[in-house]
Amino acid sequence: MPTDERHILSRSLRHRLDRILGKGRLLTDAASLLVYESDALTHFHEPPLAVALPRTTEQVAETVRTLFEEKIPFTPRGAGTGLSGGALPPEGGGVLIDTCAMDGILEVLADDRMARVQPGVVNLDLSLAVKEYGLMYAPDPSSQMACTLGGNVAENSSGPHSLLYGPTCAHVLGATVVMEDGAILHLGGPHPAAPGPDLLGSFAGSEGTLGIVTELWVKLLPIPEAVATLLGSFADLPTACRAVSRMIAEGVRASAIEALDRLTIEAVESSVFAAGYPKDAGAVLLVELHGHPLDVEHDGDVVRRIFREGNALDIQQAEDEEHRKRLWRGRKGAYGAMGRVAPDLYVMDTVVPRSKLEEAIRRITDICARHGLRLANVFHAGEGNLHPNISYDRRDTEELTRVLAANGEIVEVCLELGGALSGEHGIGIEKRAYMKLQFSDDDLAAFEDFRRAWSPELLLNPGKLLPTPRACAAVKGRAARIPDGEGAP
Amino acid sequence: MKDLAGERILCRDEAAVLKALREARRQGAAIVPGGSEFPSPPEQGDASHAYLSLAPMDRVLSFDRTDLTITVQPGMTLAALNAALVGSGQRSTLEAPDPETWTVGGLVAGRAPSFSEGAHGPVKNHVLGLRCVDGAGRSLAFGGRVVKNVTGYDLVRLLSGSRGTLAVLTEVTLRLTPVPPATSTWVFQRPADEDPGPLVARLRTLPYRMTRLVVVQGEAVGVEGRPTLIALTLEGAPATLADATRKLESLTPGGEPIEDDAARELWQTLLAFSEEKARHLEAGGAVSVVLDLARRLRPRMVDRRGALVIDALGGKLHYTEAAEESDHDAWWAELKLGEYLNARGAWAALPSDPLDAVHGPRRFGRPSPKELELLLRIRRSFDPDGILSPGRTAWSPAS
Ligand SMILES: Cc1cc2nc3c(=O)[nH]c(=O)nc-3n(C[C@@H](O)[C@H](O)[C@H](O)COP(=O)(O)OP(=O)(O)OC[C@H]3O[C@@H](n4cnc5c(N)ncnc54)[C@H](O)[C@@H]3O)c2cc1C
Ligand SMILES: Cc1cc2nc3c(=O)[nH]c(=O)nc-3n(C[C@H](O)[C@H](O)[C@H](O)COP(=O)(O)OP(=O)(O)OC[C@H]3O[C@@H](n4cnc5c(N)ncnc54)[C@H](O)[C@@H]3O)c2cc1C
Repeated sequence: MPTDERHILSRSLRHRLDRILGKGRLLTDAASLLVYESDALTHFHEPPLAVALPRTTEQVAETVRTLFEEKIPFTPRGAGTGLSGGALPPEGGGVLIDTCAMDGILEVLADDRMARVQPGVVNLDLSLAVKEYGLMYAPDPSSQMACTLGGNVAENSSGPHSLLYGPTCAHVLGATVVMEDGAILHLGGPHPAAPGPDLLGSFAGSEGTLGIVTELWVKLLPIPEAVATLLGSFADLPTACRAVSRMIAEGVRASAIEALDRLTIEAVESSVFAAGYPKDAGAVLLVELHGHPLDVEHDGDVVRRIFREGNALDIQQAEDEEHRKRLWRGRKGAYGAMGRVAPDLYVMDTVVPRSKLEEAIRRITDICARHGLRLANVFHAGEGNLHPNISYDRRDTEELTRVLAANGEIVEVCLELGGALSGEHGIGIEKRAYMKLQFSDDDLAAFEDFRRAWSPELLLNPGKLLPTPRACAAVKGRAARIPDGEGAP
Repeated sequence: MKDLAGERILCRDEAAVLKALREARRQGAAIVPGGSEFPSPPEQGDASHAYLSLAPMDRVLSFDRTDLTITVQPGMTLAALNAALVGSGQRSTLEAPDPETWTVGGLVAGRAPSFSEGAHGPVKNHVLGLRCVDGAGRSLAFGGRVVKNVTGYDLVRLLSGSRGTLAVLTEVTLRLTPVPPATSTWVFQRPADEDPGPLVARLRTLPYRMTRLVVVQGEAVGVEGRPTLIALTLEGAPATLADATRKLESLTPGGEPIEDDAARELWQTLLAFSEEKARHLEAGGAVSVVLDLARRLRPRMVDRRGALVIDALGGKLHYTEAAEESDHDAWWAELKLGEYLNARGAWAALPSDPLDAVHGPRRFGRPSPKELELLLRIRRSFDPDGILSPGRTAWSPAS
């Protein structure tokens, strides 16, 4: 619908939703709604009509059924840590269905290494809860202290250790999903995948556009016997990238290979997250190995050899848990530390084949230099997943224009190198206009058809993930602003 | 083009697939894709269906060791894929009873039998990208060559396992994994009447990287009166496996390692059993559930000279009886299998379900009406005229 024609929530509809959700569980006052206008990609704002805070699958289903009857669009939301605008309310007015209060760990089958959970469980809380059984939940996005499992499934999120363990979809066995019309669908369950097309797998990463997750069966893994954390420092990032390629080609079974460049190291080392990274290094690689102590020792020897042969300036290995935590503190606190460099940080997310890492880094560096931008890189090198981070000040509109132009060029370079638009943050509204650069019209039509098969009325999180006609026009004209960026500051 | 009914169309490239599907759509002719040159028994089906053979599309398209991925055409056999990787230090996680005849396309689009799924995850976890032609005659590409990708819907996963009902795959990119420094396979032989549960539980908690753990009971491998056999594969550094050897030898009851060739033969035999002989029941569930189900089936198995193969890492069970024919409905009802499995969130399939000659869909875990409705809508969007493999699955009805 055109954005100037806004949906409204009538008083009677508000009453109906109130009755379904219970007292105080439908937020409609402006002050409460304010925090729901954005997710962690703060360029975009959209006020919701209301926010529903359901506690059960039935409440979600009834809320959805009611909105469906009234043809009011709606968007599921978790913790709002998404970085592509996925949890933003629908343009033109819509209701947010926030599943954070559905935060129960319902069942842990320790012997079978499975758990049944609600979508509002915070990622890290699940690992903490199953630790007493010697188990863990493997996907560990850097936002794991805040983000929810529902949001993780919707974004098919990954973390540093997904290099070994895979993304969220490799750890989800089953889901209860409320569909657009309020019907409840059970996909998969506490069992290995059954034969047939994988509806659950294709639901993962659907960014809240196909249904609302209200319960999950997830896989748990034994906590590794031994962990080794190594840090290699290098003269520059391309040299570090070459060491990454060697590790991949030689079959090092690392659980994480993370890279930080000079600017990031400087920011980290002069912040409370100081990790003891050598200050004169142009780049560091943080490599972690999980497994049997003898396997870890074996792979550790290989990593050290590759570091040495790859001209590492310095090699450290964490001597104890305290040291290990310190080395990771720098990586985990990198965004916080960079916050000191400039008021705003644009965290980009693209991915390239690992054989193209070095070239991608060189070209991205050139692009930012050409636009006079301050670039810092901290990324999941082992998976070719780049996060060029650009520091800027959003009040400086001219600078923001350059940031967005650079983003567009970076995306194009990564696609040219055989990469993809997003490795983990998703498309949301941030990258929807770029979809045309990666996919043909027929591919996009197949995506549209797939979405309509799930959500014929397109009431579920409309305007996300797929290009809208306006968004395409913006990217074709190579406008130096956020594509379709009417929400831009 | 002539009437396609009953024809065999050999495709050399994607353009040929596109041409054939557009023509089939024009004629309203049914098409069944397959990896072999001639339709083999499971795919023969209806004689009026045209058989689209991908066998000539059997090449590696790109392979770069630093990417740890490979892109191949769908008609490439698993044996050829493995041969292409020899010496690279990398391997695919695909397995098949007969690597010389099973193709990458068939394993990705169809069924991919495996006893290492518990460790490596199902095949679809390793399919990074694909190209295909759908029933609407569109040439499509999803996913990519990158190992991490959340761009758009994951239709790669949807098409994996869709058994030629949505699109014909023309190119597949697979994630590879490093060949481990060392591998060893161990076998434990136990009295036939001993419950394997406790030993399996102990083995499962060993601190080594275990990629297979399988229990074989009855006459699965064709030897009458065979004791229960528990086989496992370990991978890791030589020092780790030496440590494992000491540990496994000291266990009571003890096991013994077998040679690599013998191990390969054992796994091939069990894969062939699970695919071709286990015609009476296939079930998937939590490991404790499939072990318990095996306990329930055992008396019947002994009675009917049957066999059970249980994947104790992946949570699958394959069961067969000596007599080919049996009234499944009757004995499933007698054992209350439906209620039993439903109560435990498990699924079961009758491999010989007539809906799909050999590779039948789930019987108890058959799609719910809502799921089926969704699958039918998805199928219509890919194949509006229903020309691809009609009548083969619940979501691709004959008309
Ligand atoms: C009971 C039984 C008996 C057998 N007997 C014989 C025999 O007598 N002789 C013999 O040589 N072999 C025999 N085989 C093995 C034989 O059928 C094939 O080798 C086996 O099916 C694998 O071939 P494939 O991997 O190419 O997959 P296929 O069997 O060709 O295909 C598996 C599934 O995937 C689909 N599919 C395949 N390729 C594609 C693609 N590119 N795009 C989309 N969908 C696709 C098919 O339509 C099918 O649904 C037998 C197998 C079984 C189970
Ligand atoms: C500092 C920081 C670090 C980050 N690091 C990582 C990282 O390492 N790896 C990574 O992958 N991501 C990372 N992210 C991004 C983000 O945390 C993930 O995308 C996360 O999964 C979002 O979860 P959420 O609960 O916050 O979801 P939201 O942001 O609330 O929502 C995200 C999407 O999920 C949908 N959704 C939410 N709940 C449901 C539900 N119950 N059912 C259906 N759809 C739902 C929404 O509609 C939206 O489209 C990071 C973000 C920040 C701010």
